[in-house]
Amino acid sequence: MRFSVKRVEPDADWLAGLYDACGGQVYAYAAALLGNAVDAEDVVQEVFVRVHAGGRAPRHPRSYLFRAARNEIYSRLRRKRLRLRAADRLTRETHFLHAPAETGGLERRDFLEAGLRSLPPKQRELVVLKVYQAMTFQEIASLLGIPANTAASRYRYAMERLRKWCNEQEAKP
Amino acid sequence: MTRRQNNAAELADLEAALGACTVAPPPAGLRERVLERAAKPAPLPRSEIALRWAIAALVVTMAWADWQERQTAERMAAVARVETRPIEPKPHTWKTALLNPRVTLPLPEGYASVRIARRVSSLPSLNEPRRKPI
Repeated sequence: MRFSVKRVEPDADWLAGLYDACGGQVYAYAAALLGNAVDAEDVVQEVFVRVHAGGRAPRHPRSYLFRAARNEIYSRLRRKRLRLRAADRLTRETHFLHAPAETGGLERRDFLEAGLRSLPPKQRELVVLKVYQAMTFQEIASLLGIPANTAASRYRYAMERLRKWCNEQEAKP
Repeated sequence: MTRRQNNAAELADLEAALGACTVAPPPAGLRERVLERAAKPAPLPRSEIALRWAIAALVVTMAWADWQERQTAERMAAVARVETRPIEPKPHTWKTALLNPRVTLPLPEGYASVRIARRVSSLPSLNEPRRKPI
């Protein structure tokens, strides 16, 4: 669903449409960074209620949602000092990836989630935004407030680190 | 295959594996909860509450300061009424009349006479025998 650039009054139908279009993405983004399903749900609720209560629909709702979600996520991480604990709870409590339950699908999902958990939060955030939100480096740079080249190099470092982690895990008996 | 090519192939495989997964759907019921919460009137944000408290405190402080200023002005006016009464000179004794003849000083009542009394008491009396100079 594509939202028009023209500003409209954010009524209930508009909000429902926006949730159908972006709710899952925002939830997955929050769950990947927070590592906790309850906190991720709170972030989604907070962000959507805020955009509804704002009175005027944002010009670019998706960008607005991700930016608001990121602010809320980092605010929660700072406030509750979850930064370290989030990584530990990531695989135990919340699955933010979905794989078909065919042969080895769930194992592969758990393996990849564990690999993503091993990354530093900033690199993990970039992989999630690039791979699962299909954002360009320019969009990611705009969201994170960094140069596009930095976003690209950070993504390369993250993938390289993830590759090494996978090789180490496969080498283990 | 060189090591670099091998790494590139592994990265491509990894990207493909990551891409094979999708993001997990949000929990069922979250959509309804979001819409239900959005339908409720939004509570005031903390900044708005803080601003209103600050304005209320400012108004109360200004009213209190105004009241204090009025009270102070009334007290000062009352004191000024008392202070501006004409000072009637005390009846002079023969000593004070001798040393300080009928001069009305613009001093608070009693001030001059006290000083003069002290000064007079420190003087040798006419009846006392004169001390011999050391």
